[in-house]
Amino acid sequence: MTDRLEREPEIAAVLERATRRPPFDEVDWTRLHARIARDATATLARLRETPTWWNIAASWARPAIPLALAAGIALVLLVASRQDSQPVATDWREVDPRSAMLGALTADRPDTDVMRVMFGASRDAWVMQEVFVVR
Amino acid sequence: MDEPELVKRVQSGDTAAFDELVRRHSRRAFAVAWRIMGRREDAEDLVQEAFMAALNRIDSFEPGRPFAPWLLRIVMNRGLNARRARVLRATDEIPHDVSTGDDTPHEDLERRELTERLRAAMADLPERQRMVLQLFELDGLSAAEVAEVLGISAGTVRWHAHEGRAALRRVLAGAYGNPEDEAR
Repeated sequence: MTDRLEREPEIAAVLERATRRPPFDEVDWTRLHARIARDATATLARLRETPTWWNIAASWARPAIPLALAAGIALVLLVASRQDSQPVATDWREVDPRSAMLGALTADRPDTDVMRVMFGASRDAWVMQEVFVVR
Repeated sequence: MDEPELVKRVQSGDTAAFDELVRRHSRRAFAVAWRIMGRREDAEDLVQEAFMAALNRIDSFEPGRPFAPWLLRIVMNRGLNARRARVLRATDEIPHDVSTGDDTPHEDLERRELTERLRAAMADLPERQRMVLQLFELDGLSAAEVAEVLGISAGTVRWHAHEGRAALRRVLAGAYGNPEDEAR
């Protein structure tokens, strides 16, 4: 048996003989087509009312492309602007100890950040102030 | 108009496009339906039913695919179900008169006998094997299309074709003086 299936005229002739030819001439094709068309009326009407996915896609394509382009540009600008600005911690719990320490050493951060990171928010802040010389 | 465009229009509810699709495929659908059902009226009903089923699912059909195997698969599945329900056999309807009219009484008798044996051999084939042979050899579908219609692999189509042909050849060999082949 090969990979390709070839037709065999001898077998086709045998099949023609063993099976009767479909009675195409007995079919009233016009009537059959009319029956099918009549049955299809309601379904075709429904299809006309329900847009197909590519029609929806096509109707959205024209406004969607410039909108997507504008959104992309806005996103790029937003990312770029956020990269320029340094994040500022508003809560001592958000401060990274190492950056706070480095910040304190390079005088970019107040010492209180270092204290808070290391010891938490003490109610006895004055003790801390006594222990550390706070700028 | 090419078929993908026609199918797209039907998907949009175009009545003329649907009529054209029916005109293009109804004859082939009828041939398959008739072989399953064995009666013209039943085959016509099946063709109508299959086109309706196809139309109801047309929005899920990808327009680039060939329409005929998809439609014929619907015809096949619905036909086999209907036939099981009605307990009909397609071969019951095959007529006895296949004489050419030019034969002598003796030749005519031989021809009738051979036809009877071929018909019996066809009837003995498993349903799927018979359908593979008919769709491929008589209806002119490609092996890939037959595979799609029957929902089987192309390899299985080849195997069924090989087995079915071998069975018919055994009958022919027996008829033309090689009876031991038939006895195998």
